[in-house]
Amino acid sequence: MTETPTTPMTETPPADPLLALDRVEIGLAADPQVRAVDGLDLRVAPGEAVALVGESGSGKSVTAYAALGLLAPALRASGTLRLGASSYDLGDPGALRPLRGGEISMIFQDPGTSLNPVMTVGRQLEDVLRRHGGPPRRERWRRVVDLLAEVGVAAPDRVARAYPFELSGGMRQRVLIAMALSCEPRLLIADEPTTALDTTVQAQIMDLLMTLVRDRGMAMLFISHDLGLVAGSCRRMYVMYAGRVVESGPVADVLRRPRHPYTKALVGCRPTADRRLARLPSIPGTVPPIGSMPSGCRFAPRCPIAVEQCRTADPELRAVGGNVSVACLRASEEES
Amino acid sequence: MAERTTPVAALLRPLTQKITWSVLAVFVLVAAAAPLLAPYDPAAQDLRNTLMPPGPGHLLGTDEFGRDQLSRLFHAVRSSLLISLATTAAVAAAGIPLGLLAGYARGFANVVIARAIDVGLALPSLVLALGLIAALGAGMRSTVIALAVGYTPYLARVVRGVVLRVRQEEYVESARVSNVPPWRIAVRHVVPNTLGVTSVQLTLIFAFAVIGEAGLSFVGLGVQPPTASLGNLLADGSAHSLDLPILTVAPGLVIAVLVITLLFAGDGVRDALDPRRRR
Amino acid sequence: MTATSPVLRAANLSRSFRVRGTGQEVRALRGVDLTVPAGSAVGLVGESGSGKSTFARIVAGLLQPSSGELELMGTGVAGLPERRRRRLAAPIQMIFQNPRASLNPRLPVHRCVAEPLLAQGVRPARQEVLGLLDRVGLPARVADLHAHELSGGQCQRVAIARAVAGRPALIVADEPVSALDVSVQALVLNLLKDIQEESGTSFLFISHDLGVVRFFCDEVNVLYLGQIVERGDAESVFADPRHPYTEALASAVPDVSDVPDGSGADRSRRIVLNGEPPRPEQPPPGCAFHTRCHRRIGPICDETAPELLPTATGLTRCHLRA
Repeated sequence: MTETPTTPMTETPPADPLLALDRVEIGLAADPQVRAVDGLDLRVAPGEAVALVGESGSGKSVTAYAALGLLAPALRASGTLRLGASSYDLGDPGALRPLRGGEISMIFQDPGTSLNPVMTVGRQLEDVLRRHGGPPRRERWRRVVDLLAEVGVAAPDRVARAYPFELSGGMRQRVLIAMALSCEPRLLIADEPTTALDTTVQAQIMDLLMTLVRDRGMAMLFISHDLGLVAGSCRRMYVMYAGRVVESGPVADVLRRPRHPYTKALVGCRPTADRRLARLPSIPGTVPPIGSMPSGCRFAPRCPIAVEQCRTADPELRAVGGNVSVACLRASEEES
Repeated sequence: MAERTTPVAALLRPLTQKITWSVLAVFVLVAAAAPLLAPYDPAAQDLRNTLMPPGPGHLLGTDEFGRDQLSRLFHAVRSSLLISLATTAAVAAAGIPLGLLAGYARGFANVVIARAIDVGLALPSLVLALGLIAALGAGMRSTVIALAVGYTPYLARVVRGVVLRVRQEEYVESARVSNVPPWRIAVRHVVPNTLGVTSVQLTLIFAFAVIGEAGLSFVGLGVQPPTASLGNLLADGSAHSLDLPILTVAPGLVIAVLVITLLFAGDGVRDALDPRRRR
Repeated sequence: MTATSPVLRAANLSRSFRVRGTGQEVRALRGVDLTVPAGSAVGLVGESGSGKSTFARIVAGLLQPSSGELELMGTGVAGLPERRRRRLAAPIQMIFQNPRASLNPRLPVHRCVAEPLLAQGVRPARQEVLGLLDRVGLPARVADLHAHELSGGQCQRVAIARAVAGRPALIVADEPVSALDVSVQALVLNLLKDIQEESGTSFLFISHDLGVVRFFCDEVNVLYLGQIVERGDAESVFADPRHPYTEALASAVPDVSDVPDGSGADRSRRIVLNGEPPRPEQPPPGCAFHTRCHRRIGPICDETAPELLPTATGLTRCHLRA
């Protein structure tokens, strides 16, 4: 149904990235030693779809919020964000404001709460266009209808005149995507954009997002807990656990041959419709709460192959070939 | 989460609560021990020393009958707190069961109770109070009844809303599936989870009652002279607000401090009753 | 109750709701037949608006059906007064989607777990409650904690312990793992499977997730707009779906093996449906699925509602297969 993307999609970390996050640390403002994200580096090339994967508490969403200067007041970030040639300090949320809804747009998990319930979606789109110096007033409505058509809304005239409650969840997410596109962003950050949607609607929205990335050459940072979705959509991925990146590389390599025991467990523990197992592989224990991180490797207490050294030495993210990087002392020993 | 966001709020919460409860303790002490603390009989007139400014003999001066203002203030706190407490107790005794009933009843009974509450809310409480006092005659007891009747529908409506919400919670449905008898669901699941909101409303009602008593007594329909109450003190002093402002400023200040303290106490009670915030 | 009677039998079960204000009628369930044989796990799959939760709530006694028959352990309960029904429905327990919301925030865990036993007039010893917690893999110290002190996965274990406590014949599980993290899902599903195999408890397992249903269930029913559109054993429904909706649903489930291999045929197996899901208050005429169907064969689909008819492996409601 869908062709292979024709835009250049590097599988190596890009040398000349559109977005670069360096040494990102996010901690409590009251106690910076308590960190939700601890030393994250991330690159997104122009036109590339990159996944940031993790479970709740991994730090994937706060990373996105920090990049947009939208952290809750109780949290503080440090590190730098580079977008093209400009560089920004993540510790200064005010400086990041001009990026939002300009070079970078974001869509969220719940399309229900992101729209104003007492305004038609067309008016809300017009507002966004006006704020970003879009077309003159007379042409604005035309542009709204065009945008809605572009995100696959079958009757854009009718939908533009509708209130959010009159639309289904999938339709509302399309409206939000149209809103995100209205200022022609170079990067779209999508935070679990389909988690609240039905399976068949999710497939439709993913299809739309992939089409937009391909046709517009727009880069996408796709935040998700769902490895299956990532497999079908992104080229490179970062796997986060307890505030750290534990594995990164091309999606095909990471998912086909995960090196980090956490990635391995995540890939294995999903029940799929294709195979039936007596029991699912699982990971014992729970993610350590921020503030009481174990010393050494943060996954060691749950890791099936941890050795004594894992509990003392903090593993660095290191290249293990094939553009894959892994933060695990035992990753290479595991190779067979 | 929002309640814990800023460190300032996290720091202030326990401190404000300490202050709040200390102030309330002082009020209760004054009310309880008014006869012992008061240097004079609050009703004793001394017509040679009327309208004295504050001085060594009378720390807050005397009123137009030469009564010691400090002694009257102590007794006023006593009667006002007593009235507010009685009002709050009456509102709780009537409003909570009514609210629970309204939240639980189905069909016709539900409609009747809900509409009765709405009608009660629609009647202006001052007019209601005037009517009741006209029928019952002015006095402490009538003040309590008039205020309680005015505030009960308000509490009942809040309780009903919470019951309707809690009844939809999954732990209540889960208990229903387990065949827990309806009365036990009410006692174990529904009522305890309405406590937080109810107790905050009750402290609010306590504060309203302080103001309500002052208002009724000020216009002469509440506590009858010579008994001292905060409203009576305001009324008596108002004639001399220019030449001896202390006569109105002192009870006015006491009312303001009392009401603000009660509002703060409400926040504290809510947090203390919520296991998720108790730390 | 005889040894052979199914735990649950629903026949032509329907339920309508009146939409507040508009007076419009939504037919959430439109004549559902479904049987849960003793000791088996039956899955009910559908998306929002399919009526799957309505069905679960009717079975659990939280809702009354508008019409149709419902038998629990061989005794009809539809239309029975609440009190009579309660006595009959005692052996049913339910597990909800939101693990935290299904525990009373004011009660310690041991009292939540003991609740179904208390309702049966049995006051369990603490040791028994600890035994139940141990069975779901929770340490004894959890007994005195409150829901807000537990993780989502732990809360769901407590809910499972409570469900198991009353030794039910049927557990209705409404999306029991969809609010949990993937790694926690696996643990909870394994636990449910252990319980099912050890105690022989029957399950009515409701989910939107085909992978989860396939792992857990023997038989699968696919619900679309209040009607069963396909039924079969879990293996054949997913390996060889007979209804176009099941086919689309199965293909839409994201899977780790979707990794593009560079051949260009990457996502060819995926069927992306067109159009919007219809609103339950205005179901389309004819086949309910015809507005989105990728295999529509002609005007018959728009005009005539298909019957649920047998296929080689199960039942399907589609003109194409008739």
